[in-house]
Amino acid sequence: MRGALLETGEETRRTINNFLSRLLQEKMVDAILAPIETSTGLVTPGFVTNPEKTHIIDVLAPVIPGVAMATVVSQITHEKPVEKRLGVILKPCDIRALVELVKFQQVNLENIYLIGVDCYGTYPVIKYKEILEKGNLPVENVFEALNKGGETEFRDSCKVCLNPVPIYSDLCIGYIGIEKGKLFIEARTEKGEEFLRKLGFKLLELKERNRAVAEILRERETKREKYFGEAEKELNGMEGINSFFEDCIACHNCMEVCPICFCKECFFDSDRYSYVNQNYLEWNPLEGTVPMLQAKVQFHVGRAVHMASSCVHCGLCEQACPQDIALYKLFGLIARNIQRIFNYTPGRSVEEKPPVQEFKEEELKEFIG
Amino acid sequence: MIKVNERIGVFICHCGLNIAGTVNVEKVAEEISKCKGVVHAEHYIFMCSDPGQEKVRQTIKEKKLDGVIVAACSPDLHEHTFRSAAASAGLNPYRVEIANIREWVAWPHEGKGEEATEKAIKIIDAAIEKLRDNMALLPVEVPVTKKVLVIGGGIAGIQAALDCADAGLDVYLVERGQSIGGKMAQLSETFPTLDCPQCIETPKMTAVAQHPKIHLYAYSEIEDVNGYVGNFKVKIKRKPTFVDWDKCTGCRECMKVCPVKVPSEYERGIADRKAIYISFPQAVPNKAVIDAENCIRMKYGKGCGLCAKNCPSKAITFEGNGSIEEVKVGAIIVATGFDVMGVNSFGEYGYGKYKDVLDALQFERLLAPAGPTSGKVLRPSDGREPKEVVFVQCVGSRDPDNWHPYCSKICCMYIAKQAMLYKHAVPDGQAYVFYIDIRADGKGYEEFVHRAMTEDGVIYLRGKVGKIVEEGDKLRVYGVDTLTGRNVVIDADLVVLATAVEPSKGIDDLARKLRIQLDQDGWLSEAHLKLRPLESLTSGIFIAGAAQYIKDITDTVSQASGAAAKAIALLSRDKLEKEPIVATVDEEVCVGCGNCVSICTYNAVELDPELKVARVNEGLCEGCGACAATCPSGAIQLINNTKKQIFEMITALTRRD
Amino acid sequence: MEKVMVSTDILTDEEISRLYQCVSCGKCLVECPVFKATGVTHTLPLPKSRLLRYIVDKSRGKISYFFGPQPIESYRLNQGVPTVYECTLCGACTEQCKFEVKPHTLWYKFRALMNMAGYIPEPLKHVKGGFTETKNPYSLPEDMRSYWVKKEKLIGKASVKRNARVIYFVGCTTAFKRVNRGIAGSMARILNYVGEDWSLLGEKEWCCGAPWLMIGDIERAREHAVHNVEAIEETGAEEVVVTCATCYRAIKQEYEELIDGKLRFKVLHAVELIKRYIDEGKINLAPTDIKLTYHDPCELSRLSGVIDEPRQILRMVSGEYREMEKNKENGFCCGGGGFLQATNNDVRLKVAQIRVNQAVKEGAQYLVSACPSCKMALVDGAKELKSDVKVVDIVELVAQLLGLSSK
Repeated sequence: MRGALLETGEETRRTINNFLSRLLQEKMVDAILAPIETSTGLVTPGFVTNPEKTHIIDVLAPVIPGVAMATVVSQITHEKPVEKRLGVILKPCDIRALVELVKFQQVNLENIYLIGVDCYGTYPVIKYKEILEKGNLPVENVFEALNKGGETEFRDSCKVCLNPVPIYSDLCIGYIGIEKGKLFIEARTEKGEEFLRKLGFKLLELKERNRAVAEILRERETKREKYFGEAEKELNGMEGINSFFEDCIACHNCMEVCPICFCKECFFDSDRYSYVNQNYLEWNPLEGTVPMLQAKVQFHVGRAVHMASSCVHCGLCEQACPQDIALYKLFGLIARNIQRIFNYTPGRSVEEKPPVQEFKEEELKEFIG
Repeated sequence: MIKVNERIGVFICHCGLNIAGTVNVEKVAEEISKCKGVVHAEHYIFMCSDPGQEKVRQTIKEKKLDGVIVAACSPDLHEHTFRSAAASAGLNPYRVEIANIREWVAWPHEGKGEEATEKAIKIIDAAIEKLRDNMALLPVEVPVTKKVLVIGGGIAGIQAALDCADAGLDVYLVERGQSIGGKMAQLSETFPTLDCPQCIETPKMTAVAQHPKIHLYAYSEIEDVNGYVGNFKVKIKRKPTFVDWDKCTGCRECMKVCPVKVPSEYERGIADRKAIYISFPQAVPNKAVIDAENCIRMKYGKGCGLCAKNCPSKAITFEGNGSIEEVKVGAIIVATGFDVMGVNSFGEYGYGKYKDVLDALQFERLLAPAGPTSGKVLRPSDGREPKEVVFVQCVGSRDPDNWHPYCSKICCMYIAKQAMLYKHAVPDGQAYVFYIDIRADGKGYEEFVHRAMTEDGVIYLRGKVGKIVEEGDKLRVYGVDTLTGRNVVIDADLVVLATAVEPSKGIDDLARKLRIQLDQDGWLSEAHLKLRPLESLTSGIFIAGAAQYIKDITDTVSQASGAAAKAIALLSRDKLEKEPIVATVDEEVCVGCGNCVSICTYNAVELDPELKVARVNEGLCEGCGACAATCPSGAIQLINNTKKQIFEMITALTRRD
Repeated sequence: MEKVMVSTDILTDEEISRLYQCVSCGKCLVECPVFKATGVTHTLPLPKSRLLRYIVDKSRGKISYFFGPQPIESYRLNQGVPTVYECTLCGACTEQCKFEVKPHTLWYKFRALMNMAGYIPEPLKHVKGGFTETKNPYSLPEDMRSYWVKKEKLIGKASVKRNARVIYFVGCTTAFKRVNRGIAGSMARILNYVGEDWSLLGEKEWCCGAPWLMIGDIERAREHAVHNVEAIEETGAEEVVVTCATCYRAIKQEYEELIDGKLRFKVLHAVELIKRYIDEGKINLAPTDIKLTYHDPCELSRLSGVIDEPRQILRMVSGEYREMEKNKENGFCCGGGGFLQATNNDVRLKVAQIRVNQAVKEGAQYLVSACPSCKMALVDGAKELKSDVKVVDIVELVAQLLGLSSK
């Protein structure tokens, strides 16, 4: 991949924001949708249209506050494509979610330019707030967080993530495998190259980046195998699943934040699952007791059936659970296994149809022979 | 639906002893009468009988029933019966549900009376729960286009087209070759009458050409098919002929001067044709086509052009005159025929390298009086008359390990015929037939084979042929005679292999376009092998002839007329009624993800581009429910088979212990 | 598909920024009493916020940036009615939120938005007319506001004076509801007992206006605020005492913004005043051995911070005081708030039953609260449960212990 090498010195954030300013100044995009710093130091998705105001953007903040950027883009473009040119900053898992949503007609990429950012990982949002309150601001430079051993506090899904570098975008703001004090803006598509050329950058190839990424992947793959191996043991059979969800209050927050859960009304929020007295009297309990929230396991299993083949492993479900259930363990496991069976990687390509929309004559041979 | 004073009647059938022998029908009736909303529950020996149906009608009227359950055999058999009975008594037929307590209970659980009875009660309970939310429906009416598309111009297609056209329907007959006529036109004589096939077929072919209601599309293929029974939209691709057929008179002057020779498909490689050609003398239409892959002018863009110079009508343009036409039809008849395997597949018989090992269709061309040898049987290698000819049956058929498991049906008869005709042509020659069985099951067939053996002196050897090896200018055939238990080695001059038949090439593409099914060997699937052999599983598409399974000309013509009759019956009405059990979309819940659109085999769902919700075309929807299963939000559901109903059924099945 | 344009002008920029500060951490969902009672997810705080953000996005937020203000599908607004209004506005969500979103304040504004767009529950549509005319949410004739005086046998002892130091602002729920008359009577008796210079406002007292905020009509609430403040100031009162937690919070926290001015009097809840009288030695309470527990009215404790005073009083009253498992800032709502009684009484009863069960669990004979709405809800809840826990207001309890009851 070719790209432009920028000098950042100590000012990574400012360098990035200046680059984004230039995109606005040169009218290559009309607006940038990016994580914007709030008064409390957190970030929230917002627009910047004024090139003088890009200093509020913080693309490196190691946190995903609430919903994925992909969800925000789908809220904007669900009904119609945008007519102004919009540059969107996304983390790698976010981009994959966006690509999946395109396949489900939820996102229209017309006039949208995707600017990916490398990602070593993110903190759980509550932990991130604590860090901010203590005054340690890792926001400016994510390397600082790593140097302080921050990685161990990253979310589980980040620790085993095999996607630190975006696989689908027009541009990519890259720092993995790049020497300190520099930044590599990669051009991934023709449009990306056009942007960089117009801005007067010289394009070059950097092979050591691939090597650095490969090393991270090696390390993470071992971790991932271990993580899911343990998960499989814990989630053994109905007993395992029931005890896993003991604390669940069926608030459905995991579904609300999941970027792949795109339904307007979740089936499990519909009348079928309302607490009608008669239902309880009639449902025949197998062991003489009917737990009041019996729909909760149904909800999780049902949700997994609906979305697991497109799960992008962002882990937002776990972050959103108010009862601190390690949801990524279960959903990541199911997703990984299903995706292996169908040989499907969500977000890999816009043209590749997801398993739920496709039928191949030769499929699932090991199950149906 | 407001359920005021539900009044459900339940009728439990004994089906003689089929059900009552295992299930305690009295107990069932007693238990079911306690269910909420059930005001009548009885059991009777044969519900499908007249008195049984009368019971349903009477009870509906007397007790003012608003729903009926019949617990009996599979709905496949009598759902329609009871729905009609209810309708005649004034109850909407879709307020009738069948509970299958025979195939699902009595038959699989014979001998387990107590459990079977319990299971029957649960199943009826579940049916009642489903019935509660059934809406009263009216059938969907679709208009009908009174035209027929016949695909394939062999004897089956020709017959079907003529029958439909004689009934007053417009017919589009599409044939991919240059001429109609099919395999029958390539034969020498037909068994058992030894008629000249061209003589009996050509009157029908000219009838097709001249019939005012038949629109013949020769040298054409089916490009695309859309729509549903009564309303198909078909795109027919006319392949480019490079000759203006309005001017061409079929004089064949062009063929005389063309320098390019290409193995002729009609002669099956025994002889050549030119790059510009008309397939055979009696071809219909009698118009030339240019084979662009072999014509010098077409390949290089310049040069030759002798045909055009010599054409008295100036018909040859070399211009690509292909086109796509869209036609609307109400019914489609698929009569795409069959192919014969070539000898090249069989290594033990020389992989086609031995010039004197032929397949039976090639031998037909040698025997044909108007064929390349004018009916003289001559060896392709040196042109000598063969004195020892070996015929091998079952080559590639009845061979599940290596080739096809099925029997190719026509070979026993045609080999007998070919052996006979050979003997008539070369009276001092000797014909041998290696066979496994003789299948001569038609009228006059057994006598025909007997004649070959006794009158024409054909020697029949029961055994297989292991291999054939060239020995000098002879072909050494290594066989066995199982009736004497001895090996047989014959040094033959000519060998004819009765190679297996196969469905026509390209049938799977066509089947996909038509959305009809093929069986595991590639023959067209019929709706029911015994009772509905002429209907495909797709409404409005009928099948006829060898495409459904290899058969002789008698059976082919019968099927063709049968399929035509079905098409005529279908199109005899002005409107068609479709089952109203279709999918519906709750637009408030639908998020427009398109899963249902991808999954629908009938292309019955589309996304409204403005509102971004799914829309169902009720005419196309066949009510399979795949969309309902795939929709994550439950926005699209099947009428009278909603998720709520299914959940209620599950509740009913699990609430009794 | 029908769509309507919705105005979001009622939301300030600060409120919108708070709305979008939410990080979906989900902590607000855990304590929501309506969710605990019904298990229904669409009345949870996050679905509320999701719907409000959708409306804002389309009307003046990110979607409108690209396409201009867009209309909202009316079916979403129809579905939004129970989402927004089946809520007691108890503030448990705000208590749990670590990201300073203060969601329940946004729900008040959401109701204002829905009301202006014309989407409110049917029962509330019926309430509006009578409320406007009679100045009370029960649409009862104005002269019935003082009926309790007669019923409590306090004629001549609870009257309207031209001037007084303390105004007892009775509040509609105390004044008009039979079950709560005793609270008013007890308060009047206590004030007389200590010889306070106090007065009622009589017919000049209008509803405090909080129910108008719960319906979503800020203008009407403002009318009531202006009127009440005028009536109070006419008497020259220094202090206003209330027996209702909702009146308390409304006057103390909302009035200044509504009248756009400063209050020239202090607002006290009865428990604060009674505590003061105890400290000043004007009231002495002899201890008893009744087993009692205290229900924190949401508007008084969690939303106003008055938590210790009632406990101090009750600990004096009995050595058998015990806390319910959800108490103080984490108190569980009684179900009586947010006008839920009109919108969906079934939900209110379910919530109340949960709270009463919590009291029963502690073995309490008396369930004491400090708000007439709470008392009503808990009484109704206890009746549903067929429980014999006695629900009593703290003012009534004090009055009884002082031998001041009307019986």
